[in-house]
Amino acid sequence: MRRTIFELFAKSPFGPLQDHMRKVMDCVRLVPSLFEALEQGDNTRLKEISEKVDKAEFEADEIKNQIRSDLPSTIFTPVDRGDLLDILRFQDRISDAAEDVAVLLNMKDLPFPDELAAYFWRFMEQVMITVEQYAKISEELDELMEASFGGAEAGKVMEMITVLGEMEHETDRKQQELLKKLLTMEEELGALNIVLWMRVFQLAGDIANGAERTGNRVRLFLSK
Amino acid sequence: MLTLSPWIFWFGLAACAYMAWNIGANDVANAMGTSVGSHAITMKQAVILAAVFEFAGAFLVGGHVTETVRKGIVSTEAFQGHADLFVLGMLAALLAAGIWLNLATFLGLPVSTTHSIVGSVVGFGLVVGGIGAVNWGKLGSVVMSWFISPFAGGLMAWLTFTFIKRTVLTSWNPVRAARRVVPLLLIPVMVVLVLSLLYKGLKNLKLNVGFNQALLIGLAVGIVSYILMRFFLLFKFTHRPGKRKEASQQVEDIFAYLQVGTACYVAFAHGANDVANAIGPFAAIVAVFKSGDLSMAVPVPMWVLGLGGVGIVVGLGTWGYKVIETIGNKITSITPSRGFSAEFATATTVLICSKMGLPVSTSHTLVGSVIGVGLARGIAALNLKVIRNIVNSWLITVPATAVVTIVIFLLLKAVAL
Repeated sequence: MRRTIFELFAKSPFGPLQDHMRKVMDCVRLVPSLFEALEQGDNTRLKEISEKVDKAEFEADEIKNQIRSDLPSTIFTPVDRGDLLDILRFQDRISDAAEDVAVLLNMKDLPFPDELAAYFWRFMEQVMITVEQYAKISEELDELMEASFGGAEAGKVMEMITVLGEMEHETDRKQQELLKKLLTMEEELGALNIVLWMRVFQLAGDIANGAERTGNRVRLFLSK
Repeated sequence: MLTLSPWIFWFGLAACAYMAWNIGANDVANAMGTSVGSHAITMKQAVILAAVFEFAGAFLVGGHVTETVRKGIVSTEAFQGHADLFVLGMLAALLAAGIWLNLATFLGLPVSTTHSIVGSVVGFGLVVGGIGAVNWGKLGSVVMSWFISPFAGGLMAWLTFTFIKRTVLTSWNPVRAARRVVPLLLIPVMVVLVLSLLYKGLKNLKLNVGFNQALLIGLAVGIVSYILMRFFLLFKFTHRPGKRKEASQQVEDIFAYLQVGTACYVAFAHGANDVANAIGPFAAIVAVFKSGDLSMAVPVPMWVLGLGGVGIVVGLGTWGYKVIETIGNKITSITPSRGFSAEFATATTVLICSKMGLPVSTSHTLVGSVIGVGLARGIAALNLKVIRNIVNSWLITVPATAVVTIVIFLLLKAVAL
């Protein structure tokens, strides 16, 4: 077939970037149910959900690799190529963190004391609110493209990113409270469980962190 | 002076049709591709519109451009008293350009039909008249156009898309902005269209209109179109869109109307410019057969223009159809507002350059325009590798067709004389 000048148009990376984030969210949205299973001591269910997390993470990776191979250096995009790949990398870290949480919870039977639960669920909820905020921003990517990354639409997304930053800050605060609570429970939990829980908090917090960082990368699209 | 047998004339006619067919098959995708790609029109509509406007452009406006190709690059003075050689040379040029285009299509190289014929005529001039027969200054302007037309197209497209972006796409209420801006854009579109039609254009129809008159008529048509479009859009897009996504879609729907208009215009301009590539050399052959020598300036007969037009339409119907189809299915990242910017820029640049006597290529200009829209943060992704291939094929076309012409000319001379 004839190679026309219309092969000038390469495949848009923005749609696939959104597809990737949707898959990442499939993975992240399973995380609260992991802790529900842990709280109920239901190991079979914990394992089941972990496998789902693992599967979604793998599928997200496949999309990520596809985008990377569709975006060689001979493709020109309206936004910086490096920024685009950064977004992809940071989005990927969100699902990586979710998967790490699932792996860690399957390492050893981790006790989930009732006293911790209230603090923990407040923290978990805030993590989810934060990552959902970034998911919303990701859904605006094609709209940003339509508006050439400027004007009213860009202003709206800028505002959303600012809110995302505030949410992430709130997650950090809730994580500190949770950690404080955990550290009072040394006798009840034992040093090893404390360390494991700390690691779990850290990874769950990384989900929100990752969302904030990815949002800040989108800001780079808009400030150029 | 002419000793050639009349069958050479019929052979020339066939070569002319062959060349026109190749032009139709190759280049028509340029005119219609972005419109089909942005889903402003369907495949079927594209083929019909392209057929009508390519033919109209070739038949109504195609006449005066042929002069540049026929006389501008190779001086006819060098062939005084050698009518045979001149006819064989023009025949060789037609055949070589047709074969080159056909080969390029087969190999998947996007080459310019304009430069194919320019290269052919240069090759012929070199082999018959030597270095002196080629007007190197004119050829220099062709080389310049490799840089000028993509650059001018790119700049024009960048300005157009940036304007649309500032006024419509980034506004708080894009639909309302589009209702206001799209009719305004219709004014320059109509002015450009009417200018190219009337100002020197319809010489064939003996309607000679001066530049100022043409400008006034263009403005009048533009203002009438503005008013009609304004009311049409107010009537058609009445309900307020809820979501931003819905608003963007409505904006693009509004731009689709503009794009159909510019697509027709690009097809028209293409027909007008590129029919010369097929019929220019043949018109020269006809003139020689009519007068027996090449001293007399004979106008291009209407039936030859008609032949070129029909050839282009047939080419479009046979191969062009497939080419647009691939394009229509492949491009996903182009929208009517972006397609309009690229097409409007291409049409305007081609018009201005043609009036300045520069043999610009529609393809070259369109490539530049598409890049221009891309640089204005318009097009989601551009394939730079393809751009490199295209530029390479631009550079190779002129020497390649020149060489093929020389070979064919020597063969013809051995057979016919």
